[in-house]
Amino acid sequence: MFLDYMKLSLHSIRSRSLRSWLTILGIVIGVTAVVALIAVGQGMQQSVKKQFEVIGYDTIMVFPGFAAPAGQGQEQRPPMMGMFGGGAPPVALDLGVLERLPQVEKFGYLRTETAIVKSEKMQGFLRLTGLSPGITEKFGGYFNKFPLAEGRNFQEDEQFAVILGHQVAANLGVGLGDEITIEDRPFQVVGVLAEMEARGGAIGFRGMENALFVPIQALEALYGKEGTISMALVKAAEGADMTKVAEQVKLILGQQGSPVSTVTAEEISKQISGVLGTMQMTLATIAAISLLVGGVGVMNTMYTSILERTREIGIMKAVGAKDRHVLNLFLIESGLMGIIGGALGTLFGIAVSSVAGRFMGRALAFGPMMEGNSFTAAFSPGLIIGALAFSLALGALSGAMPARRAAKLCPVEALRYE
Amino acid sequence: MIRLQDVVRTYPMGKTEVRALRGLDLEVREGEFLAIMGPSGSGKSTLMHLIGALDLPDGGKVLLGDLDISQQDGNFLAELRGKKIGFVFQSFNLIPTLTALENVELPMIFQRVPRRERRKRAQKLLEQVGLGERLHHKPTELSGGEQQRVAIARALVNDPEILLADEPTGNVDSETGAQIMQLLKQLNEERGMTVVVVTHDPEVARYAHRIVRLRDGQIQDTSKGGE
Repeated sequence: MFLDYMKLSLHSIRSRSLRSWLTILGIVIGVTAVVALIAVGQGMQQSVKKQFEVIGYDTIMVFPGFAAPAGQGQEQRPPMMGMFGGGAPPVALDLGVLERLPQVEKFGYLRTETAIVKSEKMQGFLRLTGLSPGITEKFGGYFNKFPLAEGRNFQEDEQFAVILGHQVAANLGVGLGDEITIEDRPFQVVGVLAEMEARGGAIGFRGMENALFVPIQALEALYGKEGTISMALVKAAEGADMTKVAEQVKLILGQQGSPVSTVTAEEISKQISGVLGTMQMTLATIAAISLLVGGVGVMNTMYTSILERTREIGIMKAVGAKDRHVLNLFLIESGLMGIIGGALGTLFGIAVSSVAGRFMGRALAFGPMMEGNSFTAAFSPGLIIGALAFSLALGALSGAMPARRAAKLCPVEALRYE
Repeated sequence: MIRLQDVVRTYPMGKTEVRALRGLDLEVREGEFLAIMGPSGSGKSTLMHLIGALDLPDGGKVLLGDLDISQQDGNFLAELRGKKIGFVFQSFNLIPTLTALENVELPMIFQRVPRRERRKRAQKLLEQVGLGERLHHKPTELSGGEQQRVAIARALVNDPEILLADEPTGNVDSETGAQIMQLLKQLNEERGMTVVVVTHDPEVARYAHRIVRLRDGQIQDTSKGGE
């Protein structure tokens, strides 16, 4: 029965092919827009999420000296730069107290200074990062896995050793085992990092290519001020409530006299997702309006079709069609237009968003968020099924009123209709 | 078989009302071949629509056997038309987008006849009316006579008890008209089908057992058919 109706409906759609296709085109445009926008939006969210997964949602970044005085309630966020391992003036903090917190699994810290670096080939002011022992293993994600092309990581109690980023090693013209001077002290190159793509992570150590890493003791030997840090990384114990842990860290370190602020990956991720989500919803709503217009198109076509086929409806009723037969026939017809439009729209939407995703990724990049990051639109099965189901429903709903009118036609009057 | 008792049917026309049938009584017997004649506006088509359960009277009763169809709802009447009544119209009323075969199959779709059975029956009937070679032609590709034969085949697919024909020869030449009337007569004689033909053509009325003449919505006289 249903197949017969489908066949009759297809006959009817085909017999008015230009008008049917134009009507379907209305749906296609709407669905294309909606699918493309949602796919691009989902792709963005996924790519943001992926970036945060690298450093881990259980990691808290601690920055000294950014909290507002107690009681004012409004907390100042550290400037974005601070998150990327540079820029913030180092402050002395005793992190040992963190060991007292059971929710803290491990922690590490780094200190950044600008130093005069000399090699045989050149000399210049470069950023020097002191690492607490084992931090690159404990927080591998933050350091992009700290991949050594040659050499080794720092050994315990090692002091005047340096690990160079690939680019800075090339610029200085030095390799494994060579010597460079930092603030007039000789340092031996014990490792050179592998060449890596420009780091596009939302958070994490930026500029690894040009970084000079030394043990924190070396930095303290050069600049004094023991216990001074630029930033600390704290990993919460499994299952711990990140917000609570962050609060405790803030409290316990704040008691030392200098306030600290914390940022969790989750917080940033949520903020970005929120912005992206709002943007996506706004765009999808606009696209949905075009879908609505497509629905009105279906309704218009169905009304016209019913006027043209009034006599046909009379004939069908004369040969035994009940109201519901006529109703189903027209509903299937408009539903078919909807789902054909939906299927084509989904295909076009996938094509459009695949191409547009790349451009939009760049256009919408803010700050370091998307830099150098390959971005692809995401098509979840839910999106595709949803688009098809929605367009079928849209078609059928748009056809519902016209179909009802057709079903209610009086057979004698319909037969007389010229 | 069919009895109309004191049937009244009025239509609104602008602000006035047209009384198409004014207290009409008529009985159509089972197996009868009846012709309804009369000038235009006499109520012939209205009468046929009432007999065919396409329309309901404003007053009086239309009885099919013992069933008063004037008390039934639209869906019941549709079922009744699908099972017991076959229609043949002056303008054929075929669906232009469907082939001859599909047009004949159409009434069976609404009766939920399985596809294979449908195709078999439609094909057989089209062969019987001499259109075995034209199964896949659309109405526009058929002559008037051929279209009317498709319409007759369509009227017969559900094996109705009553065949109603409204000016069945009105749009065909006289030779084709004679063939069509011969076909109707054959159905009446061989299958015992009750046939009611509405016409203004005395040549057509000649095939009937009985001729009823209408004037101003009432029966003017009844006479025996010509053959």
